[in-house]
Amino acid sequence: MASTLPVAAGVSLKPEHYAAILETDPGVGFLEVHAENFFCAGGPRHRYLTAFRERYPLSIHGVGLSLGGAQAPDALHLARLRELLLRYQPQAFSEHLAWCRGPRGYLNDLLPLPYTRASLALVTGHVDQVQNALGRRILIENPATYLRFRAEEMSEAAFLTELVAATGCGLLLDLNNVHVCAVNHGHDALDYLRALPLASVGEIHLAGHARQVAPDGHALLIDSHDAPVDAAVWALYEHCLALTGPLPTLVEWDSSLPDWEVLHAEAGKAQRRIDAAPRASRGIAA
Amino acid sequence: MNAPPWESLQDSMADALLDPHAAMPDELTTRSGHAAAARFDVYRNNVYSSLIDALVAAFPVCVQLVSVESFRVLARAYLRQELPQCAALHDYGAGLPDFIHAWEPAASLPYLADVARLEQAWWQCYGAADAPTLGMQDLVALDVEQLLGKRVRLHPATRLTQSTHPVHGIWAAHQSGDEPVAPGNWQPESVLLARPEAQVQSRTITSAQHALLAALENGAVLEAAAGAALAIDPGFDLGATLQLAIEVGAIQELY
Repeated sequence: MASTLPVAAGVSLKPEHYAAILETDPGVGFLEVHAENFFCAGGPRHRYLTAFRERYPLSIHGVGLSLGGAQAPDALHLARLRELLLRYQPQAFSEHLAWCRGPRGYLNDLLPLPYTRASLALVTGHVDQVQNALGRRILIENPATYLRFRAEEMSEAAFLTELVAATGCGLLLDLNNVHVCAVNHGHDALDYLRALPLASVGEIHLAGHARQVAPDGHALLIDSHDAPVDAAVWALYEHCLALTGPLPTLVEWDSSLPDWEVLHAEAGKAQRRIDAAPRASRGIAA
Repeated sequence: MNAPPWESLQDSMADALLDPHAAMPDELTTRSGHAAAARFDVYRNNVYSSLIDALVAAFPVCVQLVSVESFRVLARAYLRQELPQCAALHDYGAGLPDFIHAWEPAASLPYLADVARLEQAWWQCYGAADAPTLGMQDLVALDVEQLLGKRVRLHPATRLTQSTHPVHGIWAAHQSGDEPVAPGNWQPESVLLARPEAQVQSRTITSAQHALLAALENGAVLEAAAGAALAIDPGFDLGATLQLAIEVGAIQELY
């Protein structure tokens, strides 16, 4: 079975940066791609990914399984994922606590679900099904949300804690999402972190966000992945590493892409914090 | 009031996200209880803009032909009718050529639907399975009789399109980023796309050549396929056409 990601800083792999990475052979810990971009049978996308896989550890990140939806994961989607993971043997596969498939098709956004006992049972079933189909432990990412549900019966951290306990899945802890939700919903980001089973975190995501001021005067942060990591998220990352010890960390950048040097430098900032993190903490905090 | 089951709430969220005039489902809220509708609009905007962006990326020549603003209007109308059925967005837009064909505001650009069809075929060619290709040396071992009795397996990436407009000329004129020049000779064009290695190859072919390759794609033996081409053009040159198809890497093998 595939090993785990190296405890180092990685980056999102985008076609705009292919040439620069292949030419400069930069020292990044790992690369991460969106699974669905490689669902085609062949061609240049796979040629490139094969070349990168020979050079770097790989994380495959799914954005379309709709694990938080009421319907079971799509069988064809799952079959394509299974084939992709067999082909590339990535060190990690992750998906979101969200849904994206409606009755008429894919909405292409990570949409929120109510944190209730009933939805926990559904998502638990979906994660079990996916882990069985893929034959591996998967990491589940905490979402960025803008709304909550009146019917909510538990916190997101409690929901994830129970999901991890019930399925044995790991967590992909997206600290930008933690910060975005803390601001959007008015809770404390560190309290949220402390409520999670941190020993189950297999990867951290860092990313940039956009800020709006909503009509009610509150700030609304949008998980836009189009900017450098915010100072508040770097601070949260340092707090987190103090609790968890060093962890594999991805700098995500999905739109308004910068030059490769800028993204590489951003990963360097994460690497310096990994190098400075206390080593013994891992597991104790949980 | 009991909350609706998750499935029906999810369906009503999906409907409300797609309908700009629909109200947000009442089950959603914010900490303050205010501004929830504005936040729902963030999701709604994400759904529309990400799907429109996907179509803009998939149909770059159509975007140039109508302007990005007009294409986004077209894409918005299309996605309300047809959402992706697969999360792999490079498959999205299969129905766009037919949608354009029937879309009244595009009636003044009768070639737009066929250009969209060519762009779709290009992406299919780009992402199709890899396979070996036939070489000219594989033909010389056969005499004419043997050759005419063979079937031809096209390479998995090979795509054929046919138009009553000079679609390949229009498409090619929009590849460089320079100011496009309208095709000098406004006549029907068929197009052969192939991708033996990493690069998609495109060639304008005659309707007789198209008839040959389409018949071969459907499993006809070479003699019958050549008959279909000769019915269109009595001067059809089978040898030259096979050579063209082999040179662009459109043929996988004879069988």
